[in-house]
Amino acid sequence: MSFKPTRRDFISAGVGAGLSLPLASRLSPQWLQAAGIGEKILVVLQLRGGSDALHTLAPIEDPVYIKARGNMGIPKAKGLRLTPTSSLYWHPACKGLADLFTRGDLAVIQGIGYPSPNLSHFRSEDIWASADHKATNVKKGWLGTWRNTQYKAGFSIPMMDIESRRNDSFVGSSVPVFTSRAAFQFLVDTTTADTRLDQNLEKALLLQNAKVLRPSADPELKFIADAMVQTATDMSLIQTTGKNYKAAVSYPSANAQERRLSQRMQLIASYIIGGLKTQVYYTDTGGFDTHANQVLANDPVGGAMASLNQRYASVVKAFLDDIKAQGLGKQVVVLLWSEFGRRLGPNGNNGTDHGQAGLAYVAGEPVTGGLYGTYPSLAPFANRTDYHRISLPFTTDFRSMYATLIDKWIGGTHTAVLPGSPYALLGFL
Amino acid sequence: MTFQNGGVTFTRHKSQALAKPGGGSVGISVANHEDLSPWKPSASDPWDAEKVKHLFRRAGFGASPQELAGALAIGSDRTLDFLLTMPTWTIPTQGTFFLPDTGEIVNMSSTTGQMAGWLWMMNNSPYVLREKLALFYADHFSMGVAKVRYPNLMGDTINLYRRHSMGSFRAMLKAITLEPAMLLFLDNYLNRRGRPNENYAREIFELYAIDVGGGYTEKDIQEAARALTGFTTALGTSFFNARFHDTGVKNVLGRRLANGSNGKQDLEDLLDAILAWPATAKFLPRKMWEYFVYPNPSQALVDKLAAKWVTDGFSLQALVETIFRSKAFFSQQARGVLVKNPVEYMMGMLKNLGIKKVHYGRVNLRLAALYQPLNYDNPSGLPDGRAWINSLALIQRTNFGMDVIRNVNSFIRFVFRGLAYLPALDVAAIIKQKNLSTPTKIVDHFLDVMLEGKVPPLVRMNLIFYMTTLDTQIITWNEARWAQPKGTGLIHLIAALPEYHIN
Repeated sequence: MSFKPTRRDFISAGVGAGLSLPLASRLSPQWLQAAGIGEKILVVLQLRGGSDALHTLAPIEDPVYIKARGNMGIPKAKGLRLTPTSSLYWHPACKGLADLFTRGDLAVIQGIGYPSPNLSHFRSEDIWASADHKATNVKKGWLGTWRNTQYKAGFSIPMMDIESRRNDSFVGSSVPVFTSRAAFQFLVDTTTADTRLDQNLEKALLLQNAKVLRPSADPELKFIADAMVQTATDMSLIQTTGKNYKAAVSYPSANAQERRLSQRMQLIASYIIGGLKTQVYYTDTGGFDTHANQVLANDPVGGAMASLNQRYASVVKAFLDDIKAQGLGKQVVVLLWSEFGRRLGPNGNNGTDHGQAGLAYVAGEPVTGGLYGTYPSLAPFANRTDYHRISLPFTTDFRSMYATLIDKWIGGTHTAVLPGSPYALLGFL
Repeated sequence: MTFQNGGVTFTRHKSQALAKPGGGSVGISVANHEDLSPWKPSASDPWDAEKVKHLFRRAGFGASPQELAGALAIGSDRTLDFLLTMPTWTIPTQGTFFLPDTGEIVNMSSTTGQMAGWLWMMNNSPYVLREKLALFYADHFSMGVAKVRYPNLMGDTINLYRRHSMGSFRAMLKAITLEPAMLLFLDNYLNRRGRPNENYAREIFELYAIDVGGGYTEKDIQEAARALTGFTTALGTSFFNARFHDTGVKNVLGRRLANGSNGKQDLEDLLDAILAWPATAKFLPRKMWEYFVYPNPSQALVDKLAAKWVTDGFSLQALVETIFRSKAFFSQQARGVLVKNPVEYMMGMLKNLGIKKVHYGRVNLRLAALYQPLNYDNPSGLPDGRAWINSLALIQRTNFGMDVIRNVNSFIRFVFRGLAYLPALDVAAIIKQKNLSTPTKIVDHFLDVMLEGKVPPLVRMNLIFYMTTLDTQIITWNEARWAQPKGTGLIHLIAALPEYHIN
């Protein structure tokens, strides 16, 4: 971890110790933005539906795997061996992740999960979002809480959500959380000759009226007026930042879903490269609830899971290559997570049902690549036959991964953010 | 913090109980904002437009010009009697039909169709509180069509809220427990003897009746889940499958459930146990108070409400009446202290301006970008008022205001696949009819209609300036030419004011 001062360090230094002169002279707003906010960027990609770890990176030579998975197992001839001596093999469609791993830019968090696993998508997503395995609903998302501890005021869009269907990780943030969409601007009526004559005045007054002083002790009104004023800044940033972005690599576009994810990741890339100081970007891609036709009847590495693996692995690889080619590789880390893994054995429909432990990944140049945590052992299930009922037990608490990302990357201390702290850090950053 | 509101200065902080206004109190009198006794108008505290609008904003979606005039004409007693005495009015949740007035075709097999029907009711039903309570319960029993999968079943839940929101709480809890959408949403349809699914049992305790930390144990939840085994659904109806019911002994909240001859008695006993649990009487009253009156009521006030609710046999009619008739509801401390949710903002604008002719399905498409009441798939509902507000939400709300006033081809006035548009709001006619002969009178009229005139003087000046100024020149007021384009622009600007987001 480098010790470049963050904005937070400066605020505490300024308040607590007073500023030395050379330091104070550097405290221009531009400098604050350049050195603090937005330097260490986290991009979260949620894989919705419970991605099948055993069909992504698995011990495919393990006799229990071969027996349990049957005709859904990845055959040795098709798997991509993680390292020349590893017992783990990638699904062939995960080539993008395999390449990142080879160049040392991918941390694989094995056996990730939490105590008292919940097999409901909704509940398990809530648990990941709140970082509280006892939570029954999300009153505070982990990133919402992080934002509240890290950004008291000022910069309005430290976090941005790119069209995820529902992102509870941001819940509870006391300042407006930002969602990016195409139509991020005020529209005025230009449908008649007369309404066109005052369109600029109307747009200006929409904001000017919000800037008029409100009774400062009317908190709700003040909050909304401030948010409206902030909207003007956000609007111009969103409209102009990254407008001239051109991808340095070609992004995958084999099918509609892949194009959609590529578009979102390129939008994020355009903001990062354009210099927007947003620190956390969040997006998602779905379809991982593979109860049926996860593989083709005659091809265990074809079918739905193959195109899912292909989608996120190749798009994330393209994204990181793009960022790297544009010289910002050292500033960006991507987190991929899914709410749970799936059962050891297939169900009767060439699919798998909801399980427990799964895999998560942290990728990017700043990451120390490698395997973290322990892959759940299959040995205890050697003599079972009801493999479709067996979930792999978790070995690594997902809060350890969050704690590492907070303490070693996005800033702050995880004990102020995560329920049930402290958690042991992992070594990937 | 001190702030001034209607000439009364008092101190308030969101996270604290409201301080009592004024200095020395007299005798044992209760502070106005804690007083649950019925409010009556007096010479110093009359039934005026401000109170009518406050009442209709909270009990409905804002007062239409007709409702405002009517309420002032008949007085507070009869207005409250009318609002609080409502026949049940449900709407079909299957099939396809035309909405009155607009010719919009509504297909109830889609979520948009269900929402269009509901938004039409909000804007047209005289029983606005019924629709507002339905919105409250759609948040309270927050469900998502993404999991339930059948939009018509989601529509059925709105009808359930319409039927039960002024009945008994016990009957509502029983009905929602057996509602197909709920059986699907929280998995009780899978809850069987030997394979209990605790999802619904947990939520009825935590979210629907008792509250998180309401003093029950994990064991209570497990036993309640067993009591609920066998209540399941198929083909859009719910039924009890005795084969899947766990007939063993269960103890919930310190009571032994009787099981009965066929097992169905377990549900009745479970509901009785929940209602007898002390935390239950406080949970819903507090939540309603925060939704309809003001945030963070004092514990003493909640205790009073709860005690009265128990005396009233958990009657929702009684609870709602107590709240809306109270002095506390009409007190200064309850005015303008909530943030409008997206439905209140959008429907409020249509109501304020008396606009009925819109394409409700398309209003819902605009709403869905901010909030989808039938697909809010977090069981716990919404966090708090401020969570509605962020940069994009403010832009989307303001742009909805533009849809409402747009003079030609508005997105929300489109019918018949774009072949026809409903007529634009005729602001020129209002200006003529009300005899608003100068820009100042026009500004004051619409500020009054939409905001009771309560804006900073500088904002009013800006708006008057707007009426007579173009991008490149100043104009001499000519009503025939400028009433429509400037009038619609003015309404758009008022709808964008921070004040217009306050409820």
